Amino acid sequence: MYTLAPIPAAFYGVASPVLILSVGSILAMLLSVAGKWNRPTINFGFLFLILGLSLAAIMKNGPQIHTFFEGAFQWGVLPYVGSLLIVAVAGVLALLFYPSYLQARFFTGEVIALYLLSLLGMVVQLSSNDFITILIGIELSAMGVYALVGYVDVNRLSLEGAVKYLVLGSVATAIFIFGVALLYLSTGELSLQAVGHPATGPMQVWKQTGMFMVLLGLGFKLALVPFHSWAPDVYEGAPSGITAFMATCVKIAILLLLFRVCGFFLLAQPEWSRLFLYLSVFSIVIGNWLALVQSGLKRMLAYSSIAHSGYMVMLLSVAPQATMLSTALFYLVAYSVATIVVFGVMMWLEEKNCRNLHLDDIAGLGRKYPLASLALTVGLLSLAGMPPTVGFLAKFLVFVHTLQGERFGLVIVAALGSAVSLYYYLRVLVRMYMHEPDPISLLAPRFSWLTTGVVGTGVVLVLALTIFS
Amino acid sequence: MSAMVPIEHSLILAFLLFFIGAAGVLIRRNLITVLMSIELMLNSANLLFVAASRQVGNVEGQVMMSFVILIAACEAAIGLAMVIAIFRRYGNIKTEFLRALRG
Repeated sequence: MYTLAPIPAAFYGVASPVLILSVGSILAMLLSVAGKWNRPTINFGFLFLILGLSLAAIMKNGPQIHTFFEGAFQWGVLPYVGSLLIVAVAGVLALLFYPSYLQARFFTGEVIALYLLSLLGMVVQLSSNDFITILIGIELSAMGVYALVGYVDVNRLSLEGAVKYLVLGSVATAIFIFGVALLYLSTGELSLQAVGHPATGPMQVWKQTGMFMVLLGLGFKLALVPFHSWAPDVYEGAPSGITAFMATCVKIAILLLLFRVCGFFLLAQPEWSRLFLYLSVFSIVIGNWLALVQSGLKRMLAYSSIAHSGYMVMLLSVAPQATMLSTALFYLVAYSVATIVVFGVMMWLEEKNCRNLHLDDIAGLGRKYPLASLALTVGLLSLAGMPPTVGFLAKFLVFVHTLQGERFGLVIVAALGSAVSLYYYLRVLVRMYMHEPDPISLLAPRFSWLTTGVVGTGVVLVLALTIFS
Repeated sequence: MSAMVPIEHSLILAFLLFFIGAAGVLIRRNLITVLMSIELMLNSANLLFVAASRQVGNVEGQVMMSFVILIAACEAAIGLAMVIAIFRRYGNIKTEFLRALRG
C-alpha cells in the first residue's frame, strides 16, 4: 500500500520559479482566446511580467541547496545560475522579436505559451536529480521548440526544419530513454546517484550500455558531431529569433544538464572522459570545416555553434576540477552575448525582407549602416575568439582548463580549429567592408530603439566583460 | 509464482523492437510510418522498464513507463499536426519532398 507523502510548505517557495512559469503558460493559453485582448502589446507585457516574476523568484531562491522528494526536485548552484541565464536570455530575445516582422505572429497567446513552456522545461531539467523529472523537463522544452520552429513563421523552410527537428529530436529522446531503462535495470533506481552503485556480472555490461546511450541521447540533442546533421537544417529553417533561442537557451540547458549528468557519470567511470575527447575533436574539426563552405549566414552560424559546443565539451574530457562549472558558465555567457548581438543585427536586417540573409546581402553593409556593421563585427570577432572581446577570454579559460588536465593534443586541435574559424568570420567582414553594395538585394530596415538598445548593450558587454572579469 | 519470463528474453525483445524502430526511421519514406517507428522505439523502452521493474522489485520503472507513454502521446500530437501542415503545402507526406534545406 502506497501513501502520498505530504508536500512540504517550503517546496512552494523553492519551486516558485517553476510554478510561476507553468501558471504563466496556462494563462497565456487563455490569452489566446481572449478576443480583442489578444494583441501583441498586451501579450508582450504579459510575457515580461511572467519572465520578470520568475527571475525575481530565482534570485530570491539563491544558490542554496534544497532537496525535495528524495532528489526529484533539487535546487542548488547549477539550477540557480542556469535558470537565471536562460530566463534572462529568453527575455532579451523576446525584446528583439518585438520590432521584427514576426511581431504579430510571435506575440500571440499560444506562441508565448509555448515559449514559456519550453523555458519551464529547461528550468525543470536543471533542477532535478531524478531521471523521471529530467526526462519531463527535456521533453517539455523540446516539444515547445519543435512547435516554435514550425509555427512562428509558417513557410516551406520552417515546416521542413520543424519536421526534421521533431523526427531526429524524438530519436534522440528514444535513445536517451532506452539508456535510462538499461540503467534502471542494472541499478534498480532512477536517480542520478544510482550510476555510482556497483553492478555485478552481466549487469555491468547493461550499465555501461545504458550510460553510453544516455550520453548519446544528450550528444544528439546538443548536435555534437557525428550527431549534428539536423542542426544546420533546423537552424536555417527556423525564423531567426527562434534560431537564436535554440542556439542560446536550448543549448545552455542541454549543456548544463550534460555537465550535471556527467558530474555523476564521470565520478563513477572516470575513463569515460575519453568519449568527450573524441566528441569535441570531431565537433571542432568538422563544425569549423563545414562552416567554411557555407554561403548562407544562418547555416554558417549553425556550423559555428556546433564547433562552439565542441569547445565547451572539451571541459568534460579532463578530470573534473573545481573550476569546471564556472569556466563552462563563463563560456556560455560569452557565447550567448555574442550570439544575441549577431542575431539582433540579422533580425533587424531581415525586417523588410522576411527571408534568410545570404553572404551577398551584406556586401557593402559597412558603408550603408556603419553602426550595425560595427556591432556585427564585434559579435563575430567575439565568436571567433579575437583578443579584445570576451570570446577570447572564454576560449582562453577553456584551453587553460584543458591543459591542466594534460590533454595537449586536444588543445592543439582546438587552437587550429579556432584559427580556421577565423577565416569564415573574417569573410563576412570582408564582404561587409570591402565589397560594393548591391542596391537591390536588401530593402532598408526601419530604425528601432529596442534593437539598438539590446544590440548596443550586447556590444558593450562583449567588450566590458573582458575588462571586469 | 508461476514461471516468470527471464529478464534476458525481455531484453532481447526490447533491443529487437528498438532496432526495428531505428531502421524504420532511417529507411521509411512516409512521414506517418516514421512517426510510428519512433513510437516503436519509445515503446521498446517501456517494455524494458516494466520488465526491469519486475526484476528489481520496485515500481519506479512503472511510473517512468506511464510518463514515457505521455511523452509519446505529445510527440504524436505535434508530429501529426506537422504532417497535416505538410500535406496542405505539398499535397503528400513523403520525406523526399523535404529537401529545400541542404548543404
